[in-house]
Amino acid sequence: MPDLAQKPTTDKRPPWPWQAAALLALVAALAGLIIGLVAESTDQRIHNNRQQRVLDELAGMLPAHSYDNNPALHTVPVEAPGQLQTRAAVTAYLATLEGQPSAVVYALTTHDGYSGDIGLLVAIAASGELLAVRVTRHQETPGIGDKIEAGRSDWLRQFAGVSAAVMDYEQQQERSWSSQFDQISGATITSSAVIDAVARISRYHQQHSAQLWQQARQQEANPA
Amino acid sequence: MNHPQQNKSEAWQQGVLENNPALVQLLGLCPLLAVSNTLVNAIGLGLATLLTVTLTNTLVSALRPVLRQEVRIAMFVIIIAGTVTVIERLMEAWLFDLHGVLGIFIPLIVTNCLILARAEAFASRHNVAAAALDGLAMGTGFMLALLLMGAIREIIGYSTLLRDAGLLFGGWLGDDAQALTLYLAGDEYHFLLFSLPPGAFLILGLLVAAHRQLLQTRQQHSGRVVQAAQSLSQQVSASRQQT
Repeated sequence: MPDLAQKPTTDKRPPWPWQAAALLALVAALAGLIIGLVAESTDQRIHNNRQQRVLDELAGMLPAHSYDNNPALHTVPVEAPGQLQTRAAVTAYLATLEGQPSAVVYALTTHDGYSGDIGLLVAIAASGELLAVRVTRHQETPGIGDKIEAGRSDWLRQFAGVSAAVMDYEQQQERSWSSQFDQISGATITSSAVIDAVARISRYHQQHSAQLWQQARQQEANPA
Repeated sequence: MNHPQQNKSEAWQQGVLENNPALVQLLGLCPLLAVSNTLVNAIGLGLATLLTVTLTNTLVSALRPVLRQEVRIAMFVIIIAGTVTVIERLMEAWLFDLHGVLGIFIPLIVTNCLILARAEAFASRHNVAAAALDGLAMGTGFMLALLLMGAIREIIGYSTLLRDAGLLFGGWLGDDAQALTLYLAGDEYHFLLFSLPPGAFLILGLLVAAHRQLLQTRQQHSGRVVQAAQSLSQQVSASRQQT
């Protein structure tokens, strides 16, 4: 392009590398400062927004007459980051019907996505059957990895009705998923991240759901 | 081209038609080819790119007094990456519904070399107003090319138009957004090739060819008009000399 021949409007002083390097460092520090300030000031709002999104999604996951409490207010923190391979907090939302356990919805985050974290909701009925899986946030490639969204394809529906014991069993088979679950073509990493996360939480549920309900009863008995 | 004193209509003509970033400069093809499989995706990426290129152009131009020749590219990269990060955070905090729709496109923008190219070729050599206008015009040109690709690929690939409209317009129109989708053939119709990247290359090639043809025809046409005007003025001056 002809305009490339024009000299950019920079100063005409003789090149002095230290000055240029110092300027670059200054600009980088300034940019870092601005990003840090923006991140700091938006952190709480973003956290609230994501939380609200989780609660909105939660309402649509459980069958209408399968619970009569408000799971959003009935939560237990899950403490098994090692087993679930996540650094983020995992929360269990408990749904009850006439005081009896009806279902548990786990809100968790997996770091195995192709691009950034994937936020998931996994609903498991008291019978051990997976009710639904939803993606609450992700940054997977538009047009390819974004098919994990329930609104864009019915890929997530394949988990509904599978028993947690089967998911767990498959986990022990060391990723022999291909026979059991579809992958999204072109998005193997994304699909595996979701399937693995669901399998891990299924395993956790098998082993610890009784503990969760007990913990909830204790919380009710002596509210903090 | 891109002369400092260019007026507004010329900026738009450059950005949208004669120097279209996608069809002539062939910039930003990576996101263009990946995300143009449906019209709704194209609208999302188009809007996000338009916003970013306008902002970064303005910022780069405003920072001209401190730019140094030796480190300018590195500075552009910092400015662009910083701007994109800040946009994403602010959007997720204050426009959460929109972020749910456009959020996945924003990280993709950093890979769009259109933005770096405009910073280097235009914004760093022009004043803030001209740079902002250039960003707006180039962003619009990119978005139009993206919409065209998205529409063509969706029609051939899925035989629909505006499928998944609920994802983009659901926030404003609610369930009515689904009614925006236009079905041109049966639900079972799929031409997979055109919804996958090879189809994007084919359509882009055809679009570039069609665009060249259009420009050539326009040029020949305007050339004839200029010739006619010149011969007319010669005749007029000749007849004046005679009288």
